[in-house]
Amino acid sequence: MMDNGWPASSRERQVTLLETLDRLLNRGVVVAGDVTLSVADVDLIYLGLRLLMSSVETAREWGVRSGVE
Amino acid sequence: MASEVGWYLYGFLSHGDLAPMTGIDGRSPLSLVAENGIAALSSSVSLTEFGEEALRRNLEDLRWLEDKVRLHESIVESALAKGPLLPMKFGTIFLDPERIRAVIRRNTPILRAALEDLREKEEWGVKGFADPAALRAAVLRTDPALLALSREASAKPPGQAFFLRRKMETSASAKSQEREESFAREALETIRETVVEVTEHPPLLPEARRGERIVFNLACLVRQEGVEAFLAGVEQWNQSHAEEGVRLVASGPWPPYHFVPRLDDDG
Repeated sequence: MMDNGWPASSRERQVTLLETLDRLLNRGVVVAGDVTLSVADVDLIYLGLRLLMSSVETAREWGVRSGVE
Repeated sequence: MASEVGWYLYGFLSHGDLAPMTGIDGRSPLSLVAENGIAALSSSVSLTEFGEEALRRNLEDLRWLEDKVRLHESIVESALAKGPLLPMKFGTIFLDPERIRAVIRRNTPILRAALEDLREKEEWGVKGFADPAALRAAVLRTDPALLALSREASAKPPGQAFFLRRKMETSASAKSQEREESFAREALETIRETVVEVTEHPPLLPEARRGERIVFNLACLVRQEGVEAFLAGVEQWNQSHAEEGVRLVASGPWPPYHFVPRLDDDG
């Protein structure tokens, strides 16, 4: 049941992932463990996500323009 | 060769009721590292996947990241279903459980108070979106001064009408901006009435529907018994602003990521 509650459409999935990531990466209890994410790590993740989001957006617009339902 | 092992942390809790789930590696069972009546929910992970260098490398793989983030979240949510939990930031790994116990010892009163405070409360997100074109159209449709200008322009010869229309456009832009700001204030006031606490955060990535932009991003702490009233308030707000180019979107319930305490982090 790991996927319970996660929406099926690609865009909805991305938005939910984004909201989850926003919370998991920037909030929550911070403890200096032996391994923890640094600010640089988090920035890197956002860079990757921006690329992903813009490609999702491009694909969607392309679909709309070519008349795909 | 047995790979070296670390302890991945999901959150702190005060109950010992564990769902029979596997951890973030999809193999190791969840376990509790307990001290002073507080437990850290954790599972063992291989350092070949979660060690410092391996983790950094894996973070660049968005598929890996998505998989792990969803697992972290679903583990936290299933533990939260049985009682209050303080969720950890993603990617906190200890090499020695004794160091986790030391963190709990150092922070016992803070952790205990926070867990008590969060009992029967949920985090909800509320985002405010504006569609600038629809907002502007609503302003042009309803603002008395702009309607008067428009009427005046229609009655004038083309030269004068041009300047009146230009004045109207400039004024419509300023008024749209004002209206967007007052909507945000108004929405916040409405939401405040049904929640325990609200905090505002910068929206991080573009995520609005086409033509819209995100105006604000709130995290709200809501009593479980008040969730229905909170959602009804959001819905009602949307209905009464349906023609005005603004809308609220609520999401949740989330673990209380925005309402966890700051710990004493020495050592």
